[in-house]
Amino acid sequence: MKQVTTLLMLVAGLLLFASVLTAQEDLSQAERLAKIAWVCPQDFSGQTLSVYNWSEYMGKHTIQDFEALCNVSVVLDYYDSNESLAVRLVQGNPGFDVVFPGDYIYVFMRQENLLEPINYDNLPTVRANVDPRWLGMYFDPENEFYVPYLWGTFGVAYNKNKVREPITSWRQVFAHNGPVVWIDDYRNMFSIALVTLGLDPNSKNPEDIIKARDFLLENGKNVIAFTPGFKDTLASGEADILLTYNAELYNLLLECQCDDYAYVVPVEGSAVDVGGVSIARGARNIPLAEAFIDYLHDPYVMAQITNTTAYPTTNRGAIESGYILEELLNNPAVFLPDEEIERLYFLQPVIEVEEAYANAWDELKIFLGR
Amino acid sequence: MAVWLTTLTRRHSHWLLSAPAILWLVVFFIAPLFIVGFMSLMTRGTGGLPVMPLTTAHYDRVFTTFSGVLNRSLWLSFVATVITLLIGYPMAYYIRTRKNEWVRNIALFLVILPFWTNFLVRTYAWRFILGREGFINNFLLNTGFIQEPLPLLNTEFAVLVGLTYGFLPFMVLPIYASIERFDFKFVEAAQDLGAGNWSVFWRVMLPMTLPGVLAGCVLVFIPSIGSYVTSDLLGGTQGLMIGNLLAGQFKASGNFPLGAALSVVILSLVVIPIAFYLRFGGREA
Repeated sequence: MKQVTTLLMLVAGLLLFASVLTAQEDLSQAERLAKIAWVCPQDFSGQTLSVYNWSEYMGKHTIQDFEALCNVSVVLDYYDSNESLAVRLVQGNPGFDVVFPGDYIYVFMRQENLLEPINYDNLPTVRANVDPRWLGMYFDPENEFYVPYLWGTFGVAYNKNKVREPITSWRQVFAHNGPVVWIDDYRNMFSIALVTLGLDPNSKNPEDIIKARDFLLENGKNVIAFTPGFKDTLASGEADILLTYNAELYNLLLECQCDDYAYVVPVEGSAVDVGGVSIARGARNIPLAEAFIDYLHDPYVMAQITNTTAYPTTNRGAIESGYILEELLNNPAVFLPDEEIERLYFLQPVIEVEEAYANAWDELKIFLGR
Repeated sequence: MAVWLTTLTRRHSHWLLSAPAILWLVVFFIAPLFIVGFMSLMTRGTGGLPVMPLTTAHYDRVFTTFSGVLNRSLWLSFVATVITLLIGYPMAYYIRTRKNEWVRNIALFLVILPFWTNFLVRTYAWRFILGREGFINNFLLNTGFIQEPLPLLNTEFAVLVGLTYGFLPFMVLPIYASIERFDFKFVEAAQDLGAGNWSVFWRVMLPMTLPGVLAGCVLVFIPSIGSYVTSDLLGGTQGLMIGNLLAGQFKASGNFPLGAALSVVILSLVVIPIAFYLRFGGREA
């Protein structure tokens, strides 16, 4: 669920999507429905639910099975960034019931009153299965509008044959004698410089931003590019180290069927993103939207979502159910060890100094190429 | 009624006929141009959106901070144009002078053939050819010519390769059209009058095919200046071009007015070669 979606990544994405699909067992619908414990809470026969989502952010059969269980039809539409979701709803909800905002955009969406409050009393499956670790986040401390869905991290993916010492710190990334690829996303990159310097990753102090820019300029001599193509830069041997999202590395391992690459959240910490699921303000069918959100948290349904997307779930029931593929569950790049989860930080909105960040990022790109 | 209508259409037919084109130009060319021009003078608001008041700060920034990348874009586009010309002219000449029509048609077909594949995919292929563990480096390493892989990808060189490769057909085709119209009897005439091969080329053939050459140069230079995909995929940090910085301004949390100012500057840079072409090349072409 990343904001950078270029055609190029679509090409790469299709390839990895195909490989993820083949890794999955294919049960018939009857067999799948038998494994789903969740029951449709009331008679919704013939009704329609409108879902506005990221592409490839659900299981292969998630929608199909929900339609069968409640005898409803689901209309799907897709967006490619938190900002496009927010803008679409600001212009007036065209009829979406369920939406999937990513952490920081909740701040804006709550401020603009774009969401319906969530009544957790109507979500027994969510209450039974969600890991409380993912509740009470900074963007919605009382869980008024947010139900946890999937999460992911940003970190260091590297080729173990080229980087002999296991990476534990961002400083090793900066000091590496070989090609490194950064991400073209200033919040992530500046937060890394800030935490390495021992500063607040969400600093709003213009001096800190300049410090971070200069730090990256001084320590960016080994950078060859800003992610034109994500994981293929590692696979093709172009770079030894790639700063990227954990699902990216998992998909690379799946493709190469090898053990050549590792992923780590350095000791200084790195960014986490949590995807939520919510009901859009002005939703036409709130009871059915609640039913759908509750259904998503059925352990079997949620396990299939994680199996398809390779994003770790916020659902403890799914993790304990045994339905999640072994290679995902036991992969420290996907389900991080607890001590790494504790190092994660959110990239919070910094609207007041956004221009300073954007300008510093342009300057970094311009002067790094000299 | 009918008479009135006939008179109207007869008297004003040139207006009625050009109305769709004028409407098109106003709605899709002139209006957007003014919007971009105006936006470039606005201030950056929340999320990068343009707000009042007006300012020229973005232009200051374009001509100071961004000037290095602007110069690189101009330089790379210029070099790419020269290289495509040096390859394209002999190529067009060679194709035109084949006696067998079949050979000519097949050669022309081969020039156009790459267009049948997506530009993105063709550019991407260069990553595999130029890469650190790509085709060229592997070949040179295996044959022992080099011990360490050459840095080919993510350089200005890679961008030049991509631009030359991508835009060569735009150079070959107009030149071919010019040479096709060129009457080779002029060559015989010049030779009869005692001109040597160089003289024939410089003083007879090149001036008479100049419209095609200028058209080709314009068609290569202009898309090169604004190129985005080529430098994004092949340039890395070293081959960053102005198109990449421009695109970044229109992403979430960018800077729309700055992006608009960059667009206006690029547009002005593009207008210069077009004006040149209209002044010197447009007469016969």
